[in-house]
Amino acid sequence: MHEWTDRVAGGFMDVDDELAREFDALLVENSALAFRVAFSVLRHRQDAEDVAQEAFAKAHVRFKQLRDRQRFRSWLVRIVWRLALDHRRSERRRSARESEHGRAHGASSTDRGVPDERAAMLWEAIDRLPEKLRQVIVLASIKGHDLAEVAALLQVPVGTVKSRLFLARQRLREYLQWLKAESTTR
Amino acid sequence: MAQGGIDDSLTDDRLIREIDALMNVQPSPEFIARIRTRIDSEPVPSTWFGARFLRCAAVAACVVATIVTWANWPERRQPSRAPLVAATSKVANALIEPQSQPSDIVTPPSGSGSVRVLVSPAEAAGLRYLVSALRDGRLDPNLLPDTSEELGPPMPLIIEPITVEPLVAAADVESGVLQ
Repeated sequence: MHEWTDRVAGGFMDVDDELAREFDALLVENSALAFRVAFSVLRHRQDAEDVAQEAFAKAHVRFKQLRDRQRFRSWLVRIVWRLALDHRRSERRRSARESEHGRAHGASSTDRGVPDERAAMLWEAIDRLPEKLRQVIVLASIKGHDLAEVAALLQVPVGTVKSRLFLARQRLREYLQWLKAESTTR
Repeated sequence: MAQGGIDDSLTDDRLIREIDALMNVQPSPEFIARIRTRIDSEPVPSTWFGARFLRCAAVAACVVATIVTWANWPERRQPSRAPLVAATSKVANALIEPQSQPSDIVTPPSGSGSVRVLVSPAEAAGLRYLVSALRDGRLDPNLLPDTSEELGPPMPLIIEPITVEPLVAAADVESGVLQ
């Protein structure tokens, strides 16, 4: 009896090792994406890393339940997105929290490839967008995150994502021009 | 356009490039290592739990199977009739041998959920005498009266018709005079 159970348990162990290897490969492949999704919401490096880490921990626990491994990316992104939103909500509740503008500077200009002043202006313009347009432009701009994945995450058709993206860029251009005009008149 | 400013003629491509650059930040080099450490520190009961659970389940299944087999084994099921037989013979003994069961209430073994047979003392004494006389040969069963012949056909049941006398009306009531 014990031999039989040990043999079956050994089989479980092999399966677990294989799962662990598979998860590690997916971790390496998707860690940057998870971080960027979290950063797009939180705009703070450390917070984004913490949230992405939390998301990977959750994904690891439930990894066995994921039948279709091909959907890991979208599954992970959804976890990160929700956790980041939760984190942002809880952060906003704190009265002593530092301003969003200050947080945006959590990433250095050299890191982004965009000067700080320009980056601040862009973030300000993005913040002025309605929620639906902001979500689309932020998620679609993340490298390695295509429109189909954005559509799946937001649970809207791809066509809707495209139209929102177009509208978001149009609004952004207008805001940026308005912001530039504001800054020159000051 | 000055460095850091916003160009009036901001093209789509440039806007997309700038937003892409804004979003595509890199995590710290130790980010993956931190996640691995975190995952390793998490108590994942998968293998341990799987093996342990399987072992416990197998042992439990064996115990249940053994109990069920033991309970349904034919040799064990046979004695289950024994109390019934014993009870029956006990009733007969109680009727035949007055010493063995002095009470007139014949009680089967308790706890079996059986019915208590109540017999009056006179009937019990009569039955005991009859059975013992038949067994000892003191009484010839052929001499016993044939009750089926003595009883004869049942008598017809005659019910007399009931005559209901009409009520006699009072003179005062008929006349309509109320006192």
